[in-house]
Amino acid sequence: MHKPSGRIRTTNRSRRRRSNRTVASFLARRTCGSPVVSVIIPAMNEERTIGHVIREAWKVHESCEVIVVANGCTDRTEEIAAAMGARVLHYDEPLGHDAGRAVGAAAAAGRALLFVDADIRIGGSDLKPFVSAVLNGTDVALNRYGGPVRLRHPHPVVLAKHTLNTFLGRPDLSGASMTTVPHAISRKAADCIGTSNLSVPPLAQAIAVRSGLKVAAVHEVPVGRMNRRRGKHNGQDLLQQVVIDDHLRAMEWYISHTDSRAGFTDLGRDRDRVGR
Amino acid sequence: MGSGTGRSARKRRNSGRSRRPERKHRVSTTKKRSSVYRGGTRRDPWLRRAASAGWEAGNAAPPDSGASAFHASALQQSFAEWMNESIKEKPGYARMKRLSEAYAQGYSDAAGRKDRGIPLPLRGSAAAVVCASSEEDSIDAVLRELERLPLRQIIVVLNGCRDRSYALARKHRRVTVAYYPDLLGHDVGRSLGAKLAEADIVLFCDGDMAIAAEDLAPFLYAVDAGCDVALNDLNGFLPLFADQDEVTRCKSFLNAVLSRGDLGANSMTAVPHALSGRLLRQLDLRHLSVPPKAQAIAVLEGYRVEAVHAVDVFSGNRRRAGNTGRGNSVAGMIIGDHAEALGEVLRRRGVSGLKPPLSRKDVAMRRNAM
Repeated sequence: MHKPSGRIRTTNRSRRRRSNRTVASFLARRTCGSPVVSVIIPAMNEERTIGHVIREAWKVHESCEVIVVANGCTDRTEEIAAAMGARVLHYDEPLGHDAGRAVGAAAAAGRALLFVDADIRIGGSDLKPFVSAVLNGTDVALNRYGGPVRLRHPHPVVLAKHTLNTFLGRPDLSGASMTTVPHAISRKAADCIGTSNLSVPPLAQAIAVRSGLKVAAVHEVPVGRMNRRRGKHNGQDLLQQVVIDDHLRAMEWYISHTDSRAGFTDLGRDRDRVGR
Repeated sequence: MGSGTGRSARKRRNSGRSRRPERKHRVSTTKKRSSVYRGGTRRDPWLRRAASAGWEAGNAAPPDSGASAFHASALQQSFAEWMNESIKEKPGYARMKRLSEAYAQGYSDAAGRKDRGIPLPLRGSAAAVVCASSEEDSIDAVLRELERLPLRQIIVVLNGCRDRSYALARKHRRVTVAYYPDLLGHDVGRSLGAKLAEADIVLFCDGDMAIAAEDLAPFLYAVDAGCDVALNDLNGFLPLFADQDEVTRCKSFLNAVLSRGDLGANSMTAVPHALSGRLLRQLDLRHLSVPPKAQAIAVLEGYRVEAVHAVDVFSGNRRRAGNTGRGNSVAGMIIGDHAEALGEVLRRRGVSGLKPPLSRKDVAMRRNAM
């Protein structure tokens, strides 16, 4: 698309100058040997935002590693990530939605694992609370943001997040979910949940709650407003189906590990009274 | 304004007294002024025809013996007959209701007695199931409203009763009381009542709140018109999502999972609702004790589930220890019911091998590949 005004060109030039400076300053602090915090950034063709995300990621802790899980990238994402001192895990093929988290977590060495998305620009000051909560004893530190709730009929995904917490007996978490970034987990949580389950975030959350891990909503970052508008398919965001399905898988797991009523009371129903 | 109202009221009183003997000749003018026909006559000529048909039927009516149930009454029978004969296509509920009112008005004008019943043109037979435990304050009113409907059977499932409810229910001669000395638990009465009911339409109510027959009729009419699960449409009463309770959210989520987001938070957990005989004959009636599970099965098996009419059951609901406040025990039970329902959905989905239309990888490809 042709951009006519000279204003945009100036902005581009100044941005390039700024990013050159940041790359130079970060090249000095390569990933350290035994990091306290691992920041995991799954990325697929995010050259527009990855630079900003990595720059902010470096700010969360002085002893920190940044892992970019570059999967199915056909643009400059990897190049930028490497230039900014991140550890790049390369995959030719797309891993699938959230699957990068599992891969990144398996490679992470930190005591706290912070998950962010490559396409959402979040400032370092909004990332730190999650890391410090985990370093202070929380196992799963969630974003308190539960999506737009000032509606009578919410988005199905918002509904699913709230309902899962209800079934898990944690209505206090409201709509906080591991589906939402940013969130951080402890090393103990990663081991307990199993890194492969991190690619189905609601399932990971169900396991965390069921295992008695300390799950808390620690800070609110309204990511809904920062989200990039995506292509829709038949008027429905493609992701919606996947996210709803994830929540059902979480429910299925939870029911199979509690009872058919997810541990809720039957208030003494005399079911035998009704024959076939 | 005040004096005007007074004058017209007096006029009406006077005219009523003086004209009563010659009412037969006056009936058409009286009709126009009567509230039932106001406005409607100009738009729908059938209202007038309904009123005169009612008038004729009323004239021919046998003297009220008071013994027969409303479904067998001359008013109900003649109205259903007249509707069948004169109106080919079954009208929507709102229009049918106007016709029914006009007919009943004409009928009572001619018969000289006010019948409180609501005649409905039902093709199938209808029954009602009322679950009650200790409801002496309301059970009588509940049954009086039900008796205004053309129901063949009214079944009260009385369980764990500790007050005069039994005696009050027995006073209604056409009511069948299924008495269980111990508490059966929530909604188990629905299963037991449904087993006793033999009808094409079964209306489910609770004994703790009287709902006007006018607000129950739409459920019967909807099922008669082909709906299988006619739900109370409570969506209009809901607050914003942020202020909704957990139970409401569970109901919405179950519907969303069933791809019936259009139902909002409407649920078989809420009364009143009506079920078709077609569904009840197929369904394992034990599932009615866990209403969301029955609803999930009905949707999955392709039955017609619709929200048909809005009755405010929030403001009238009796508040008692255990059903108020966040995290009360009844709320916990309903959440458990929804867990059971979701378990059923998942089991059936696993069996049929349904998969989401796209895998995670496909979605990532479509969203992020440039």
